[in-house]
Amino acid sequence: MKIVYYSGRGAFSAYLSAALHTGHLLAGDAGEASILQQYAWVCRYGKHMGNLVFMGMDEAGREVYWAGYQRHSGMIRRAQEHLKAVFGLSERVVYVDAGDLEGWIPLFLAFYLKHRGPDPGVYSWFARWREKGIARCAKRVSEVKASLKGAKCP
Amino acid sequence: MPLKLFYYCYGGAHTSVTCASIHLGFLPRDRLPASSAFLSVPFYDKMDNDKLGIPMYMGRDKLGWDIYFMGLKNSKALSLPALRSFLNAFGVPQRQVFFVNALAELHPITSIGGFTSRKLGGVFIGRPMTIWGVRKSYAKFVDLVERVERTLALYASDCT
Repeated sequence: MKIVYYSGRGAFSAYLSAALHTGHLLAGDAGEASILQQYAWVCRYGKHMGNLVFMGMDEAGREVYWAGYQRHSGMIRRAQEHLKAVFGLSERVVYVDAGDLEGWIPLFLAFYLKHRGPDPGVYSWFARWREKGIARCAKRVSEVKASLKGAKCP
Repeated sequence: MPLKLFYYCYGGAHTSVTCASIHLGFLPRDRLPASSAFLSVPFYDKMDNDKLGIPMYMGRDKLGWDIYFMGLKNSKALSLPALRSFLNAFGVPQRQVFFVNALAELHPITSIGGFTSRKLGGVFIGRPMTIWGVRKSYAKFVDLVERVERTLALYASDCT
């Protein structure tokens, strides 16, 4: 089974949710190192938008990915599901929409980064967003894990 | 496993269908087809908005490639990495998949006609406009398909 967390910008709530799901990040972790690690993705994922990024395996052996699909998530999900049929791929894919956890700050930061590049102000806003974002994403992850409990991995 | 080629355009209704049809011989390469020929092409001006993104199978060509068409709106910079990386995650070799942009030869009248037909429901006016526009650019579509076929043939000889 593959789990794909997606959002509009990808490197914000989708990344955070995937990292929390696999245990790469703990809910109480507000350390500088982990903030910088995610910030590096925030700065560079814009040029790679759409790409599925492997985060790791969770405790049940499920592959966890994250991605940014902007406003085309419905179409891309449809395309991916049908490509599975085209290529005869039977493994189940669970999509988790983390877009509602992002809010307006990532939209603003992504726009700024695209046109002006990284600067300390962007980092500071990102850290502020992340501080509140971790709790929201952790709640979503626990809901996802609860819904997948007992699900067989084909 | 048969290799897969996907012609894509905005709505998956006109230019990608035309290219796939030329590729498979449903439309001629040596002359400009009559307007009525397009109406008899399967799937021409038929794609609904809620089916955007779904690859539609058209047939298999003489090289053994399965030919599909699909609509990806104006999101190719996002959608193509999304689809390629998805297939990569499943271990599908990149050499088995080809995506071809059929929008490169889009005539503006086709675009307006497509919007009128698919979005506004004005099929009576929109469909003939799309056919007019596609016929205007028809030679470019034939050229695109022939370039694709030459690439596929080189691909096949590289693989053997």
